[in-house]
Amino acid sequence: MRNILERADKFLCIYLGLKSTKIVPQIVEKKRTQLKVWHTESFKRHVHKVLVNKINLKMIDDNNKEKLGIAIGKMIASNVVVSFDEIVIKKD
Amino acid sequence: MKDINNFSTSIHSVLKGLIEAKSNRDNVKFTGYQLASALDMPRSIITKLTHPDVSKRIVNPKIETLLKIVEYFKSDGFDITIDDLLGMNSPSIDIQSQPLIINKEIQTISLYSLSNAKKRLGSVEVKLPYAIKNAHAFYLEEDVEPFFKVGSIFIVNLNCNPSNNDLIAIKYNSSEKIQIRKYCKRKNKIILLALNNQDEELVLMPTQVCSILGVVIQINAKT
Repeated sequence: MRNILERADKFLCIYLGLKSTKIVPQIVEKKRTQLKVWHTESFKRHVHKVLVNKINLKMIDDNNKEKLGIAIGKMIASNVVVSFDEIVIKKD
Repeated sequence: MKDINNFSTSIHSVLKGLIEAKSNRDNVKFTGYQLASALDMPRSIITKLTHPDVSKRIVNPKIETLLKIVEYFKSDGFDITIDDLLGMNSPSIDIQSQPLIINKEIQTISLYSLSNAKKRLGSVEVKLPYAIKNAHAFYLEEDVEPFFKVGSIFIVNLNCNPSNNDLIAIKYNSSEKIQIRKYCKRKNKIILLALNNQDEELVLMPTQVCSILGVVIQINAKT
């Protein structure tokens, strides 16, 4: 019973926007020279199509971000991976 | 205007590919001139459609011209549509089926500027799909359309020979600027395509005054 209530609570929190929605990237496609990502959002039935550089990476979890980078890399060239990890430059 | 340029880019590459494919299949050299004769149109139209320089290409070909080209190649046994010629049938990759990289190697790599290979900017600690003995990182100082923003970092494996469709870093002997290009083998030629699909492509010649530094294995994209 407690589990069910916790699940219902979690569901309602997400539904009411008390927790952030998630983006799940599905397909990356190359249209002429542009790269587009098809993705789905929590509680939305339709698929969104956005340019790769316009996608909100903050709403994508780490695993999906990594998969997105691998797919973009394959679309750009062979044997290359795109990473969205933050990099700190250590100056000499 | 941008869309028209994109169309001209796809027609250019698809048509060149078709002419080459026909030459390879028939084992007889097939040229743009022969195509123009077969289509009963001026040679200059095919030349302008396949011109390597973007600024010299036709940017608005007649539908009749495109239909003639498609019909010719279809009747010759090629499975091609007008959408293919215009680059409308876009390739896609399923993101969810991509395997995650489990064991990543954390390495500290020297960072240089892409606009000046001698300018060391410091070092970066990056997670790589596999360990590399000799690598350099290059910092992008100007946006590269359509995707990479200033601050993106290209990790280059200096001990790796390029293979077809790899991204490579090249350096002209006369300058310290480094360019990222796509290494493509077409018949006996090696073509270096620009990352943005807009700049002119280079044909790698023995006399070329540029050298290949290595193969790009990872791009840390600035978002």
